[in-house]
Amino acid sequence: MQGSDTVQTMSKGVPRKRRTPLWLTGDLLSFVLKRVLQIIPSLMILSVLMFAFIRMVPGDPARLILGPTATAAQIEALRGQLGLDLPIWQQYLNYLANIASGDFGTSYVSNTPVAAEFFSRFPATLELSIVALILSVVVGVPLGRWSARRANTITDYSITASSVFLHSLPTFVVGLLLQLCFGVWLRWLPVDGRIGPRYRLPEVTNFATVDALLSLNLSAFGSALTHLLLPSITLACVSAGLIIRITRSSVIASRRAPHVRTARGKGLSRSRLNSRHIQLNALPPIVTVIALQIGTMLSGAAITETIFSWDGVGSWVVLSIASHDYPVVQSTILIFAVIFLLVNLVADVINAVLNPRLALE
Amino acid sequence: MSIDTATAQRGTRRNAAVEIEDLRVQFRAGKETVYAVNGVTLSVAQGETLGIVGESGCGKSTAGFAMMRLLPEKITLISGRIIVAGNEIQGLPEAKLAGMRGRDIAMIYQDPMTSLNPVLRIGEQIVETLLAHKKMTRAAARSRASELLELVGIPDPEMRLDSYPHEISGGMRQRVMIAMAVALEPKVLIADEPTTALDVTTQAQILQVLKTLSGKTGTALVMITHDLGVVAGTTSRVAVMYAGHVIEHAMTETLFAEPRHPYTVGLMRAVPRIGSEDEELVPISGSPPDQREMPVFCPFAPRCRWRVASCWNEVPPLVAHGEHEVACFNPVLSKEAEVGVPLRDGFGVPPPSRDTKAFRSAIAFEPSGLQNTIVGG
Repeated sequence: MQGSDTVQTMSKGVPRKRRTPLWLTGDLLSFVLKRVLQIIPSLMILSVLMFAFIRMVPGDPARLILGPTATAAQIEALRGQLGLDLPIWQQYLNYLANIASGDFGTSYVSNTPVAAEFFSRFPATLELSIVALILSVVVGVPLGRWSARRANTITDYSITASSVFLHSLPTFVVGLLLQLCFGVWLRWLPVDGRIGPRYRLPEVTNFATVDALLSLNLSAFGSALTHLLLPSITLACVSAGLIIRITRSSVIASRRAPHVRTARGKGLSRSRLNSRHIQLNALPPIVTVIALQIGTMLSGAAITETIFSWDGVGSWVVLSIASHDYPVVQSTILIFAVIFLLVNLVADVINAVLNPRLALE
Repeated sequence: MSIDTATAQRGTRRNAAVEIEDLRVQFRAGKETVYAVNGVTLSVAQGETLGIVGESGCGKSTAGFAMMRLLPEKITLISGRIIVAGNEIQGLPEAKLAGMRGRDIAMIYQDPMTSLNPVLRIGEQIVETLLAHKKMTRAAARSRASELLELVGIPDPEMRLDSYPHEISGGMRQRVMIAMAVALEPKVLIADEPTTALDVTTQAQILQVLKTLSGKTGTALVMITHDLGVVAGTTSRVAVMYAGHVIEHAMTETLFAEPRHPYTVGLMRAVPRIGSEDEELVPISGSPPDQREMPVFCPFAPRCRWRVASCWNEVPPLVAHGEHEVACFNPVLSKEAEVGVPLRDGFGVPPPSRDTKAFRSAIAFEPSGLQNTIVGG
C-alpha cells in the first residue's frame, strides 16, 4: 500500500511544522497559576489551625521564661510585652501583619530573630533531607520495579513485606536501633553531630559536606559523610517503604493497560516496550509520592535530628515546642508548609509535562 | 462428508496466510475455568477477507488475540495449532514473535480510547512501529506516518502527528490505530470491531481502506464483528461463532442466502432488513450459556427452536455440506430461514434431567413460552 500520488505530493509540499512544546503554551501556564492560587487558602487554614493548636498546649510562656520565682505582676508585665494578653484573634492578625512585612518574630528563648536562626539551621536539615530523599528514591524505585517485574513470586513477597516493615517502623525505633548496632556495638559509625569535633569548617553554605569539599579537606568530608549516614538512613526508611509500594503497584497497573498490549502487538523491542510504554506511564504516581515525602522528611527530621543531636531546624522546633516558644514554632511550621506545597506544585508540573492529559483535568 | 475430510480440506487451503487448527483457549482464574474457544479450525488465504461474527463473549476476540499470541500467558491455556505466515506461533521465542508482530501480523483493537499510549504523540507511536521493523531514517518514518494518516482520512496529517491521543476524537483515534496496524502492510490483519466507534460514513470509508489494502498487498483480513452489515459488505467468507464454537462457516453470499444454523437464522431475523420492514422481527430468547462449564451438548440448544433429542447428548460437529459447513443436528430449511421459525413439528425437546451444573444452567436459560411462538406448530 504505497500512498497514492496525491498523498505524496501533499506531504512533500507542506513544510514541516512542529507543534509548540507543551511548556511554552498557555495550557501549562494557566495550570501553574491555578495551583499557585490554590496554595493561598491552604496556607490560611493551616496558619489558623497551627496558631490555635500551639496555644492549646498547657503552660504559659511568660511563666516559663521568668522561672518559678517570678511574681504574678512580673508575669503579667511580660505577657503584655509579648502581646499574649490580647484576644487570640488579635494576636493572629498581628502575626499575619508581621509576616506580611517580612518579620517572622523573635524567639522568646534566645531573643534572636526567628528568620535568621531558621536560615542558619536550615542547611543542616536540608542536607539531611536531601540525602535521605536520594537514598529512599535510589532504593525504593528500583526495588519497586523489581518487585513488579517478579509480581507474585517469592522475590515480590519479600520486597513487599520489607516495604511494609520499613514503612510501619517508627522513626525513633529505627534511629535508636541503628545507633545501638553501628555506633555502640560495632563502633563503625558516629551517632551524633554533623562532623567530628576536631574539624573547623568555614561557614560558606552550611552544608557540612559541601563546605568540607570547598575547603579541600577530604578527611573532613569523610567525617561529614559518616555522620550523615545513620541519620539519613533513619529518615529514609519510612519513605523508602512507601516508594517501593507505590512504584510496584503503579508499574503493575501500567503493564496491564490495553495500550501496552497494543505496543506489544506492534513488535517493539523489550527495552522500548518497557521504557516508553510501561515505565513512562507508571511515573506520575511515583513522582507524586516522592514529592509527598518532602513532608515526611521535614516532620521526620524533628525526631531524627533530636536522636542524632543534629543541629537543624527539626531539633530546634522540638525544643521550642517544649519551651512554648510560639514565634519559633509558628514560623518554622509555616515555612515548612510553604516548602511542602511548592514541592508538590513542582511535582504536579512535572506530571503535567510527562502526561499532558493531566494538565487539562 | 465426514468431519475429518472437511478439516483436511480446510487445512490444505492454498496460500493460507494464517491457519488455525483445533484452537482451544481456556482462562484459569483460581479454581474456575472459562472455556472461551472450543476447537476452532479456520484459515484465511492471502488477499482474502474472513468475517468472524458473533455476540459479545463468543470467543471471537479471544481467537484474534490468540493469533497475535497476546493473551495473558499466566492464566491462559491454549491448545491447537496457529500458523501465521508459515510459522507455528505457539512455540516461538518471544524475540522471534516480536519480529513478526506488526510486520507479518497486526491487529486493530476494539477500544480506541484505551488502546493508544496516552503519553506519546501519535506520530511517535506510528514511527516507532516502522522503526522497529524497517531500516529507515526517523524523518522518512515520519513522512510515511503522515502518509498513513492521510490514507485513513485524517485531515491535516502533518499537524496531527504531534497530537496526543486525548486531543483527538474517538473516531480519529480508531483511524490512528488502523494507520498503525497497516503501517507495515502485514500479511495478516486482524480487525477487532474496527468500525464500532465510528459513524456510518466514516465506517464505510474505513472499510474501503481495509478492503483496498487487502486487494493491493494481498493482506489476509480477519474481520471480527457483531455487525452483519459489515460482514455482508466486506468479507468473502464468514464464520459464525457461538460460545467458543464455529457453528456455521460458508461463503458470505451463501450464508446470507441460505443460513442453515438456527443461531445464524436467529441473528438475521433479529434485525430489520431494508425492503422487508413489514416482517415481524424474531428475537433469540434467553442468553448465551455459562462458559465456565465444559460444553457437553450443543451450546445453542437451550435457546434453540429447532432442537431435537440428540442436541442434548453431544456437541454437534461442524459438518461440510459442499462448501457450506454447519454444526447442527437439525439444520434449518430454507423456507424456515425465510420466516425465522420452524415449519415442521416436534422440536423444542426439553433437556434430560441430568444433575450436572451445565444442565441446571441450561434449564435456567429455558425460554418461557417458546412453544407458543412457533408458527404453524
